[in-house]
Amino acid sequence: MFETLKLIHVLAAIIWVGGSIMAQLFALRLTAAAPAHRLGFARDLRFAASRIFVPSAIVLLGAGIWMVADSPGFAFGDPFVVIGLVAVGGSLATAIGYLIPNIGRAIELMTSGRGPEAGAVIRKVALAARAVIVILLVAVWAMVVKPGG
Amino acid sequence: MTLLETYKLLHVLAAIVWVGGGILTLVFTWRALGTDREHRLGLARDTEFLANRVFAPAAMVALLFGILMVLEVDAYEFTDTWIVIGFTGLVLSTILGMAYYPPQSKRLITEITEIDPKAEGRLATIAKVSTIDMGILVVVVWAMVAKPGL
Repeated sequence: MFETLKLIHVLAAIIWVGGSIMAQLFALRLTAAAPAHRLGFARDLRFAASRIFVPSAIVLLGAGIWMVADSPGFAFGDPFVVIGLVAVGGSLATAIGYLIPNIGRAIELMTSGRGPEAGAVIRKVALAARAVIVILLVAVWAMVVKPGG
Repeated sequence: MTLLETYKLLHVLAAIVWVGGGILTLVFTWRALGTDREHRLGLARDTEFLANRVFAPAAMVALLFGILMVLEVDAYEFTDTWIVIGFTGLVLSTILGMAYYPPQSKRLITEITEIDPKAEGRLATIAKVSTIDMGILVVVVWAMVAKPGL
């Protein structure tokens, strides 16, 4: 049971964290891209964020909590568990509350021909997404090294 | 952090970028099948650019630190089932990455640029091969987590 939960937890983390890093790298290429490609990418990103990253984050959180509850060696007060919970909770809330709605707003602005305004929104979203990635990398470090664990 | 923990962290980070990035690219590839030409062309160019600069180095880093971990830990042997599965999967995926994707991507970009109807079929084939590729890598992740035979 523990191994199954761990596999699910690890796969969800790979999809969420690796996908987010890759999305940033794709986004860096958009500066010189054609408007149709920018719009297409924004739509792909909204799809990935809402249908892949958020469900992965929820699965990751659920499997992680289950592992801690299931294992006598782990406790919710362990520093690496606290770091993980705070990082994942904060990142998930940022994705649902800020990143996804603003990607949607940028798409609306692009489709209504307000490209420069959309660009300003996208720049803010990219900045916030980078901060989320840094937080998630700290969580990965905590899961691997298990400080205080 | 101990030396082993450093190796493990770098191995895990490289695997996250490689497999997670690959899965996102796969999703984008499948979605590109039903999209307009300009976005498809942009995506094909971006993917070709990033594949050479992200996936290949990430795979090498994952392999290097995986080998260093096996050398560092007395309980691990290169003949352990889970390590053999890991190496086999990694080699298969690397072969695909070096021998299949680069020429196919170049042809795809040319076909999309020239509005050649063959582009749609080629993109679908690349998406199918990528799906198998990601399946192989998920098996590798399973082997690394479950460590069968250990």
